[in-house]
Amino acid sequence: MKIFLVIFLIVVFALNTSAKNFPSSNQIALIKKIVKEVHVKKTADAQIENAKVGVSLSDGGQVITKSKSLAIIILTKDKSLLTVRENSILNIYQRKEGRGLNTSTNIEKGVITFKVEKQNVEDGFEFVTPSAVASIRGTSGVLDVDSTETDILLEEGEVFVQSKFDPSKNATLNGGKKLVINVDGNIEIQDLDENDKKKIDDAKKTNTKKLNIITPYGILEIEYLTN
Amino acid sequence: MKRFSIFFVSIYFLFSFSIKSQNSIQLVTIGNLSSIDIGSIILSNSLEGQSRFFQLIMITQPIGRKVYLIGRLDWKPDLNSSFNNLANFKTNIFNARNIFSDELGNSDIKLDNINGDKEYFKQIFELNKPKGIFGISIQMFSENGEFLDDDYQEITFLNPTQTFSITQPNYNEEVDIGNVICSWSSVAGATSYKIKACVLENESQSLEEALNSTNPIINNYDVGLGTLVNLSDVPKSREWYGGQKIVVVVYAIVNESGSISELKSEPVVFKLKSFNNPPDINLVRFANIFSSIIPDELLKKITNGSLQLDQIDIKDENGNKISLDELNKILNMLEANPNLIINYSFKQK
Repeated sequence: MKIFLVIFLIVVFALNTSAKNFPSSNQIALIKKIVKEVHVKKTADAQIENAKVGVSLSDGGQVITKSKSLAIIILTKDKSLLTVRENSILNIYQRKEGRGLNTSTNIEKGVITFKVEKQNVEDGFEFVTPSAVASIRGTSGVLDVDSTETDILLEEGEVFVQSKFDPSKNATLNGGKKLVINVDGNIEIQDLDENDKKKIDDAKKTNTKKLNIITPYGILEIEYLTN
Repeated sequence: MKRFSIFFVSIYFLFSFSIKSQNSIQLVTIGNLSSIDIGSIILSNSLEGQSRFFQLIMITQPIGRKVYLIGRLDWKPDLNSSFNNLANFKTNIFNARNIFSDELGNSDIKLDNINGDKEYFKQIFELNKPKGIFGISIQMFSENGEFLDDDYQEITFLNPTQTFSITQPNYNEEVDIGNVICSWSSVAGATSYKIKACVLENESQSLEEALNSTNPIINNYDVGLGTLVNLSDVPKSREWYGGQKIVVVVYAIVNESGSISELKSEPVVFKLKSFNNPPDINLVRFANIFSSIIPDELLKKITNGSLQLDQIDIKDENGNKISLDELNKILNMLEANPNLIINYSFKQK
């Protein structure tokens, strides 16, 4: 019995050590919803394919949305939701660090709506863009990213943002505020204005509806996003 | 010595007088000055179609002597103001002869050097029509730079009449929605014309207020060099319909000494006439949002009132009828957020 216990402890220790600082081999997220044309890479080494609802993403997985398209992904760890709006590219990574899981989403360009659940003390969640690294513990808002600038519109919660190239340039953003950071690390914070609020509201519209106008001359079919 | 001085002065005056008498330039205004358009005062090379408004009569010995001219154009807005320098120019060397103002820059006589105050030119352009008093000074020199003669004239335009104007439609004319012919007088030197048309929302709105509205129906559509267009065929940012009053204005784009100026016509208001019932306002809104995908024929039927709401069924994705209220809510949302439309198609019957 004593020998069995020693072997068990050795195995547990070995497994724990091997997992430390290595990518998680499990699925990180699932595609929950697709509108129009969305492509995915399930892992860093996989081929790009058409996305389907239920497809899982592992470390290095990628989501690419085309014009007028969107994808909603749900993180399997804590059911946080990310909506990848049209013309966006998002990569997702997850690593075990100590006893925690560090999830990182790399956004090359586009608009992402996020509702990140409150993270455990040992876990981490961050967005990485061409100009910033934003660490989140539990919050919701919208990220608008291009190659030179990142806009973070925060509805609620708190985000710690630092320049990707100069971490000494950083700021904490609170709910109801907007932060703009560029590649030089210049940071501006201001209150959300009406346009920002509308942008957040629009970004939440992920349900599709159809309108069919039947005239004596033909049928006009319109598909649109709504709440 | 005293005799010698008197002799020298006499010779000088005699010589000067003989040069003057043998070489002279005279500036004569011609034509009906009230019909001169703004383009005619532009000093530039290769501007065609300018009106003639003065003639330079040059007499030289020998006849056709090689000369060049230096000119100066001054302007004051009214009798009580002082002159401001508008432009200065120098021609190349040419054989002296009688020339008209429109030959300066448009014949073998090129303007080698033109400078002046573009701000004043802009002010005059904004007046639409030559107005005020122009002072024209011309000096004639031999090809060696010897001064031969000069002349100066003032030309007064105190009560100008509008010459760049819309000739069709007439003010307050009722025109068929499918055939709105718009024509205007041409402007010398114009490189193109642009049209803007807006809805006159109510009787208390001025024509300028209507034209400054943020959503014009025709937004600076470039007509090219033509002076007539059927506005019914011009691309519109939203549809118009019978019963609306429309304000239209034409801009002449004129290249003046290398800078572009816009000459604006007086606006004209006209009313769109439809032979059918008035168009359904909800359908028109709908047509405006989806004008890029609805076939022209259907658009016309909506905007001229021949297609009414009771001839149309509106259903959701499950085949349920959508009420007028619901339709209005959807239209409000899509009008404010056109980016929410992700797909559309029209299947013709």
